[in-house]
Amino acid sequence: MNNDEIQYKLKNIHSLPFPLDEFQQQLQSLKIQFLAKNEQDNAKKIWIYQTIIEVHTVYREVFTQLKNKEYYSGWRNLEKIEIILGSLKKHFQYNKEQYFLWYIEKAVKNLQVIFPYRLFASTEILKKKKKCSVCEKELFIRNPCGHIVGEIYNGEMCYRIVTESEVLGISLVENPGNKYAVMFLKDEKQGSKLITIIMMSLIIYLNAWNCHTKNGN
Amino acid sequence: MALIITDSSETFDTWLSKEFITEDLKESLSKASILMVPFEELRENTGPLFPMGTEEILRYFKANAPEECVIDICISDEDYQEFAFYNDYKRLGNFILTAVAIPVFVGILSPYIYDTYIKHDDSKPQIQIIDNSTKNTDNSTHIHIGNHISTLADKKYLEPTHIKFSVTIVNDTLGTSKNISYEGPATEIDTVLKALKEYEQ
Repeated sequence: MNNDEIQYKLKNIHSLPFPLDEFQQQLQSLKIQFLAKNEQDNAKKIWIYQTIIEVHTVYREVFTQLKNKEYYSGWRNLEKIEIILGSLKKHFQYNKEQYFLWYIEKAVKNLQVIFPYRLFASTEILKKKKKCSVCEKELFIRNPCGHIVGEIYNGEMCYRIVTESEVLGISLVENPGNKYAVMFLKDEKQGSKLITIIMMSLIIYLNAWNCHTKNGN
Repeated sequence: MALIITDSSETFDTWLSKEFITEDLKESLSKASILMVPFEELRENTGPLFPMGTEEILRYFKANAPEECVIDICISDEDYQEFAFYNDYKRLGNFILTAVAIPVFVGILSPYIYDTYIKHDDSKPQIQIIDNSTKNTDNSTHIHIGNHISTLADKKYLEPTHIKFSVTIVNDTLGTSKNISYEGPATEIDTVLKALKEYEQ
């Protein structure tokens, strides 16, 4: 698969006649070939393409989950998209036209607005030991391994793995670090009538829409 | 926005004489003009702690500081521990610096905040709540743009990024120290750094 083919597929990602998994696998094979030749820049490009596909995969999943009234699962995936886009933006600044990413980012925010969730659990964690995902060496703050969190090495993003930790407590917050940690009332239904109505009217998953209100509600 | 400026008795010696600082480390830390210092009594029996993300801030400061300005962290490798409070306030940590190092500190922290938080927030699509109940004279839909979406929707998690940090400035000539702590939107960083620059030596 050459670059023109990849670009064509990415531009038409919303209407590809085969599963996105297949496209992912083709790119993974290509990345392995680049890494065999130590072509780090090309491997990084493939990571960017794979991340774009991941955004679409998860967004399609959200769309299906909300259609099936699996609201909390959909909510968790909306956060997942936010996180993936945050990682992607460090390496690829997309404009409004590129690969529907801007549209998906806006749709994620619009959907978050209409969800009824307001209260979240915020865990307080003591991280005693961490290691690097690239070299697997233990992190020493005065003598770091040199790999930077969020950078791409060998076609993969660098992150830290917590190997020893302790939970200090849990707080209730309105502005959580982890949006998945929703606090539900015992008798609270999983979603809201409003989401159901909106999802019934969104037939195509890449429809553009805004939030409209009546009487200020 | 909460910007609090208070007199302080803290100096570099306050930190260098802590029990968790060994003699070898003390010698190394005494060369620093900017020190990242830990929270000491954040939670019971935890020892000195740094906020999640300290590794990245320290790396950024070291990578961008001029050679003559030594930046360090007041802890040994063995004692370093991080706390992660998973609400969305970005805790940058506590710093102590000499008054002469203020320009360096400001010159590094400002682009760090911009690149890490403000640029990221600005890159997000802005969404609007369109209220069809109020019409303009030209019958176009009235759009509320005066307030942020987090206020209109009453959802705090839609707020722009908030940051939290504290800086102690030590003026060796006058023998005084000032503490400046800030908690609020990242976009107000220029106001905070302007306040900091007033103590420049």
